Amino acid sequence: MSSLKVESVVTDSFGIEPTLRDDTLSVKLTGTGDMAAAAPLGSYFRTLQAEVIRLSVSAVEFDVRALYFLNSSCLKAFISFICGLAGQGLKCKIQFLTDARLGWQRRSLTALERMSPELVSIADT
Amino acid sequence: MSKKRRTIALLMDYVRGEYQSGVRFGVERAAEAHDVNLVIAFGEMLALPGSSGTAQNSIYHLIGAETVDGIIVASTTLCHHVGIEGMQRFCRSYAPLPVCSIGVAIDGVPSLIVDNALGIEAAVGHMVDAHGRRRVAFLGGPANNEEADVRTAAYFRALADRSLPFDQRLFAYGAFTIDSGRASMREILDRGVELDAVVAANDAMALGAIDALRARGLGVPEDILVCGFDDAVIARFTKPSMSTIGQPITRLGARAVDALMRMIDGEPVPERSLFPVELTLRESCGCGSPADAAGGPSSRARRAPPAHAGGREELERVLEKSVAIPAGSLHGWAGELLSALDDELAGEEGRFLRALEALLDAAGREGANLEHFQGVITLLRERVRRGPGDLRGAALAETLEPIWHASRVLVGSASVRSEGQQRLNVELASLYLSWSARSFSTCLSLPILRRMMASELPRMQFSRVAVSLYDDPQRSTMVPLFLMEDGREVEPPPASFPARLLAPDGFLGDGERWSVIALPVAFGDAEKFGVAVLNSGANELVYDALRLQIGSAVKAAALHWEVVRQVELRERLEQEKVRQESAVAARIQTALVPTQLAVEGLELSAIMKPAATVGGDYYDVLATAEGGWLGIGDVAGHGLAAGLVMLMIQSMISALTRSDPNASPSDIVSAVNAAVYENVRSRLKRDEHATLLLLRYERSGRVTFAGAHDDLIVCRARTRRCVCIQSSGVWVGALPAIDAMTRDSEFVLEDGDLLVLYSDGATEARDAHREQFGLERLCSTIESSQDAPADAIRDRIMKEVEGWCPSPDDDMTVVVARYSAPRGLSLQSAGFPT
Repeated sequence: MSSLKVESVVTDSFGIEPTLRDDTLSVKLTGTGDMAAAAPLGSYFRTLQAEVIRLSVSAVEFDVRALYFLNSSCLKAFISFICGLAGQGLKCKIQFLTDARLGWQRRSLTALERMSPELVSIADT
Repeated sequence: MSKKRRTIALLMDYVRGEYQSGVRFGVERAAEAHDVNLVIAFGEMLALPGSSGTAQNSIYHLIGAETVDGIIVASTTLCHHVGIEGMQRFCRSYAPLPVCSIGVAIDGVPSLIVDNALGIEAAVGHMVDAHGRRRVAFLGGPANNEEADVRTAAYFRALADRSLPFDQRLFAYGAFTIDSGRASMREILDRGVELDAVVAANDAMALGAIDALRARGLGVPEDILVCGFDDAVIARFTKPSMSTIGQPITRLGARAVDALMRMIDGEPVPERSLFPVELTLRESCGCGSPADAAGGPSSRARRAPPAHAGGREELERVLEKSVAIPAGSLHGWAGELLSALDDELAGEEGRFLRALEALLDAAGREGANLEHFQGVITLLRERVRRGPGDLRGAALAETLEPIWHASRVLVGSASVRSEGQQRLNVELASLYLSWSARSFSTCLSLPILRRMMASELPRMQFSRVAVSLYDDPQRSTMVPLFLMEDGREVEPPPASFPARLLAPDGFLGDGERWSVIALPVAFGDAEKFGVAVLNSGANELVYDALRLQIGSAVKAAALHWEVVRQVELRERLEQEKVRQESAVAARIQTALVPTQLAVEGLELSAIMKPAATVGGDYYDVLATAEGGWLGIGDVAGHGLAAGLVMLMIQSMISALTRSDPNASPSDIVSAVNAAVYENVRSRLKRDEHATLLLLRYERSGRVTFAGAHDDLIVCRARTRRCVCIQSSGVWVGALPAIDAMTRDSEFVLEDGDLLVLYSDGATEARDAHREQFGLERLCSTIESSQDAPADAIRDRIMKEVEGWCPSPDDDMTVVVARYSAPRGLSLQSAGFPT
């Protein structure tokens, strides 16, 4: 398997750190997903989608336990990512590692899980 | 009160050419002698109206009575394109300022010219008379050049005077350059015509001719004799060294200043001043030996009449004539040298060599060719050996031999040192220019260019510099960009000044006498940006290169500024577009909210506040006969697209609920989803989606709802506590069909219960510590104000949220509904479980 060709992103208020382990692509998101993060997140997820296809990974794991907030524009990037993978016919599983104490995660990610129950799962910690 | 020092100008096309350099040297020295300021303005050859080159020539039109009292025009350097009539118009354009011309005789303008005809006639005559040649070819100068025309006519005349027929095939035009000389020589050779000598209208073309002859296997002077014109420095160093016509270029410049000063004083000057030329014979015509080539005594002796026994004054005259010293500052040097020789002979040992050394130093400073002093030593030695005049006889000559030997060594050393110094100066100038080229080529703004000039120009021996740029479309005024005085950058005055002053007020002022070079700051032939004025005295190599470098740097800065301006403009336009789109989206949102909130059994109050950049919140209240519909949602994204998606959702829900007031909310949400997905994804090619919660209220208090949005809040009158009810659907517009995952749910309102709908703009509003307002605070606010009217509860919520976050970055929507049960109706009687 080739190495990952997508870099980490670190800003003052937001961070994305991808790692490839076996055939699982783990993406750790930290900070605050507000309007400032929406555009870079959307762009990043488009690159990430290409990597998932190139590496033929079987699962993508989003660790959002340290992501304290995600607004609707950032959530849009997740939806586009998941719809994009589904549109390519990939059976790549997507798992969210969540923190039940963060309200946005229950509200937004539950709807995401309902939207694509065969692809998306949530693991509360 | 002291008299204001006068200022004169010299206009020429270039400062570095040998002719230009000679004229400039003569003018500068004479200006110093006359104690007048000097502006040397150089652009390019004058261009015909409408042709290229006007930008570089713009400098000439800025010279006028505002800065100078009289003008010397180096016409020979400017006239190639415009001819003598163009030069006449050019000179007259400066009236009433006194103007004199160098090199070209112009009607109505005092002109200082060399006897071009005499020179060519001497050259052709030498080929025919001394060497017996009969097929003498001639390489003429440019057709529009008056000097070239005179030289060509002299060639014809010299042939005619010797009854030699003119053969058209032996004549070709050139352009005073080596390349054109090579080309015109080839042209003649290609005609297959027989020739035995070539006379060229200048040295550069003669050099090209020698090159072309060699390429055809013809030796110079073995097969063909060659003679040039100008006696350029290079003529001495070529192999074979070149026979040529020497013209007193530097003296022309000096005499032009003399004439101009008389004109300024109102004194008459001759219309024409003709300066004699001399035939200098070297190897290329077969007369010289290699030893003569570098200005040795033989060649100078051949130029002068043979020295014959005579008086001391005659010897002084012959000695002075044997060395071309440009300026008159060394006038009388020959007499002083002879006196030193007398002192030496009288017993003052070393006196002659000391005097010779001092003379060589002074002559070197004046730009003389020091090798010519070998000829002086030769003349003196011959005179002593022959014992003429008041010098001693042959016996003494023997004792003087060591002095002559030491003198030759002294002259040789001084000559080598002088040429080495010149070479070092050129190398240093080249080095500094390569540095400045690197620095200036990276200047992308005028402030950086200023810093670069401050660091680079002092290295090149510049201590006074003013670079100014035009600041109006007519280019009649300039603002200073860079100012340097006494080798240090000084802050230029901010005010603009008339362009014809060339530099800011005070720069070219009174005080010490000054000599400056003014050149155009331009790019290519068409773009002129301003004027640079630099002190003279730097290596002449530098000025022309700096003209190009500063012009290019200003152009690069202008281009970069334009790029930045365009980017900023585009960004502003994009921001304005976003702002307008947001305004449109906000109008759509606010215009479509219900104007009247009237649903039987509900005391309603609602508000929506769009944020500056985010649009997409939606709410609606639609009354029906059996109750009504409430809707709330939020389109992910912002701007016009979000507004349009919201408009679609509002329109579809309005139409569908009117069409079937009792429809299932899940059916309507699913239908809206299918339509939005098609419109947004397939037609608009966008990816917006929305939260949407649709509630069907029945007068009995039953509320059926479907969709996905933030939790509903019901504040129960019975318990006075809030209950949060989750929605169970998915977003609208993300999937083509959501029927299977969209289910109706329901709850029942009791009398006095409050139903509160809101968007995430309320719960996700963040304070300075990035803490969200949150659902708990929202519930607390509702509980604490639940007894108030619906409007007051709404306002309290808004006040609390805005107090938490004064500058929200998302839309905020709040809908408050207090339910009043129909009179006499109880849940139990209606059959509801409680």
